[in-house]
Amino acid sequence: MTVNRRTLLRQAVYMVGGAAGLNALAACSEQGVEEGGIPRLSGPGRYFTGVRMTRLKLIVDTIIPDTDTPGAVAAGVHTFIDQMMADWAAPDTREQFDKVIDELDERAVAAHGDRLTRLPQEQRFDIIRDYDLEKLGENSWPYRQFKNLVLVGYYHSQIGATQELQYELIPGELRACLPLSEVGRAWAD
Amino acid sequence: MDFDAIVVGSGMSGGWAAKELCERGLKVLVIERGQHVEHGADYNDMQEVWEVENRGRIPEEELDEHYQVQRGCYALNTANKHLFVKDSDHPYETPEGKPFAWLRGYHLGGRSLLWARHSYRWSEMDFEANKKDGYGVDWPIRYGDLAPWYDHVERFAGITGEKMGLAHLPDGEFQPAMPLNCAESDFKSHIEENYPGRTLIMGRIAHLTQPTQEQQSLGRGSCQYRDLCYRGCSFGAYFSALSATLPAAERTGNLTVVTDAIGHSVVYDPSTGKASGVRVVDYHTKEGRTYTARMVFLCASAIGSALVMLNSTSERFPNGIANRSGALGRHLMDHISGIRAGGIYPGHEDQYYSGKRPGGFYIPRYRNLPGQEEENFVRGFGIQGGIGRMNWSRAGGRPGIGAELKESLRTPGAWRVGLSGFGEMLPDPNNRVSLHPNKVDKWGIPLPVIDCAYGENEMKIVERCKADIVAMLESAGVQNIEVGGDPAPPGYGIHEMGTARMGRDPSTSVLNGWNQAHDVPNLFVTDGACMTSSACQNPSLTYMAVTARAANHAADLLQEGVL
Ligand SMILES: Cc1cc2nc3c(=O)[nH]c(=O)nc-3n(C[C@H](O)[C@H](O)[C@H](O)COP(=O)(O)OP(=O)(O)OC[C@H]3O[C@@H](n4cnc5c(N)ncnc54)[C@H](O)[C@@H]3O)c2cc1C
Ligand code: SF4
Repeated sequence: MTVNRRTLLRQAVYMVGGAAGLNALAACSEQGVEEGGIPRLSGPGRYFTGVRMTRLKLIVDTIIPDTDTPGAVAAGVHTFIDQMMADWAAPDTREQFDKVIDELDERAVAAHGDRLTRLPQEQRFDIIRDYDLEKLGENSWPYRQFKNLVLVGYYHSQIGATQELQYELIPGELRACLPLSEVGRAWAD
Repeated sequence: MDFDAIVVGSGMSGGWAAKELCERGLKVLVIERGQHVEHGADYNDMQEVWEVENRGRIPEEELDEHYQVQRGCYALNTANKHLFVKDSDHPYETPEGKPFAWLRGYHLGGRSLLWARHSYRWSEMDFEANKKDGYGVDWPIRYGDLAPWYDHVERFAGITGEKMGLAHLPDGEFQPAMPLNCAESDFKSHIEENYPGRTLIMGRIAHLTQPTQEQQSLGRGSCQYRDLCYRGCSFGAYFSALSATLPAAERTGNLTVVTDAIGHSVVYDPSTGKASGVRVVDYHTKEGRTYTARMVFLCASAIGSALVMLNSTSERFPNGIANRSGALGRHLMDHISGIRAGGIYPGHEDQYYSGKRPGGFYIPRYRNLPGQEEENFVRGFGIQGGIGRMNWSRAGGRPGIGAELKESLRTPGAWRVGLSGFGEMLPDPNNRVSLHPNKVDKWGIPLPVIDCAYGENEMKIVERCKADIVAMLESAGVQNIEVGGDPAPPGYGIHEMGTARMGRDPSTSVLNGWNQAHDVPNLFVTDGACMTSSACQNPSLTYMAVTARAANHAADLLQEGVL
């Protein structure tokens, strides 16, 4: 397959979302504050810039928060997604992830005049909830990819699999038909 | 002579040829084109789910560059990509608009490390089919010829299953069957009530549930219900050449294996009228060398063996060894696959399971059976399927975030049923593999050209099968039924066969009823290439049985001094 055809194919598969330019607002306005125990400034990841790492961390924390079990940040989902950008994603996929992260920030600016990372928890939750509803309603491929990675990152992490759900590498036996109450929580895998 | 026998290919069939010949006392050389794989050490089955590289996802650019075809195989992931070929290293051509997915792995053990382990006998109906309806040539063997060999290979390999007494899906030597889950048992009773004559059985799969002494002596143990089989199994709980046949061959002291040796051609000796050995090209140095033996078994997979034969030209056989008939490379068949539908299986919210069963259920063929009214197509199809509760991944496409999302995913989702038909393909001389007239691979061997398409009968089978699947789902009250589109192109069934078919007549077939080339008595071909028709059952068990039978026959001939 030639490079051109490959690029075209890739676009046919992935270029589903609308266009949204990168926000030109200065990134430095997001630096250096602590909020809810999450430092506003993350160092740059292996792929993401420090600014996007900070946003990503808050986004995954909002999608899967700490409850009576640790949530996405404790499970390192943001680091996992960053690592997947570096080791798995092709350039166009990386751009789409950047865009999802930036669009959420743009929504925050449009709705509240402030960066996503500086909104109070509830406002941030509403922005992400509405975006999630809208994008999945449109069946947006980039966002589905994003949400899938958040879910895989969490439920196939050690915390997600063993503390939030149940997991056994070697079950050893099969009990094919059981009352759910005897099993308890869902299997992670 | 270097060896009594050379076996080309170390996979499902080659492992059996090696074992049987070694156990009969022959000095055997196995030639494998791929790399050595160490049972256990080269599997990633002990990695926790969070330890698997990229959680299983192969980098997108790597897929584009190296796995254009193999990426179409559901089993491919980071934990087993060393068990698949890189398409970039092993190209082949297909005519424009006629895709064929040649899904394969080149390594010790071949695709016996990757298979889904469904193992079904063929029946008398299948061996009689060609003769009865006139498509293809008559099989030179019947069920009775193979039955004792099915017993033999099942006993050794270990197949779990339930005896059902079905004439068209004969029972075998089974280890205790794995159970259906709650929803599947319910579905079974719906199908059997609503459709008299149809039955749903737990898949007969090549796993140990009660290992025999022989199996234990090979280091094989019981299935641990992990469903990680596509990574290889350190417990040796499913049948593969690495867990079973090659170790059995090895312990006779009669086995020699060379890996990284690409079978180039069979050497024909005009003075004896026999094969005298095999020419190989070294994977690394690209240098050629020849091994000699008293007989040659080709087990390089249906397409692979046909290619070696087509590339074995001599004055007597200018179009490929033993190809007087011109049938070599033709009549390529697969199973029609990708005939799919599924939906939400209602109820059973308070039921679940524990342990991961490594296989689903099977609805054996129920149309065009002997004595039944004939359909508007010949032959038939079987259906594989499974029902399980959806896990957290169901949230990927559904709105919802936060504590509520997390809470809801603690409970397993609704039960989801999926059915997938496998249809019989007729032998058609136009479906063929050939050698490219001038393009060669890295090792100077002509590129394969695969030209294969479904015909009219196949499309009628697809239509009927799809309609049946949907009707069965509806009759069981399945909701939100989603129906797949066109069937997958040929190849995706991963059951290639037919390219050096057996037959009674040397002018229309390549092999006789003992898998022996009509025209080269010490050349045997026992992989899928030998198949005269395709039936609709997964074929590997039948390759095993014909291989064991042929190997023992060849050993007899050697003993009698005929070879
Ligand atoms: C994902 C998957 C699921 C499957 N599920 C099932 C199933 O449920 N049931 C079933 O019956 N079948 C199933 N199959 C098919 C099954 O794997 C094959 O039918 C079987 O492995 C074929 O056996 P074989 O010996 O002909 O070829 P293989 O097992 O492929 O072995 C051929 C060997 O020959 C070597 N070779 C090829 N060319 C040369 C050469 N020129 N020189 C030297 N060596 C060579 C290859 O490297 C390979 O090791 C499945 C396959 C896959 C990939
Ligand atoms: S499910 Fe059974 S056969 Fe498969 S990997 Fe696990 S133990 Fe091995």
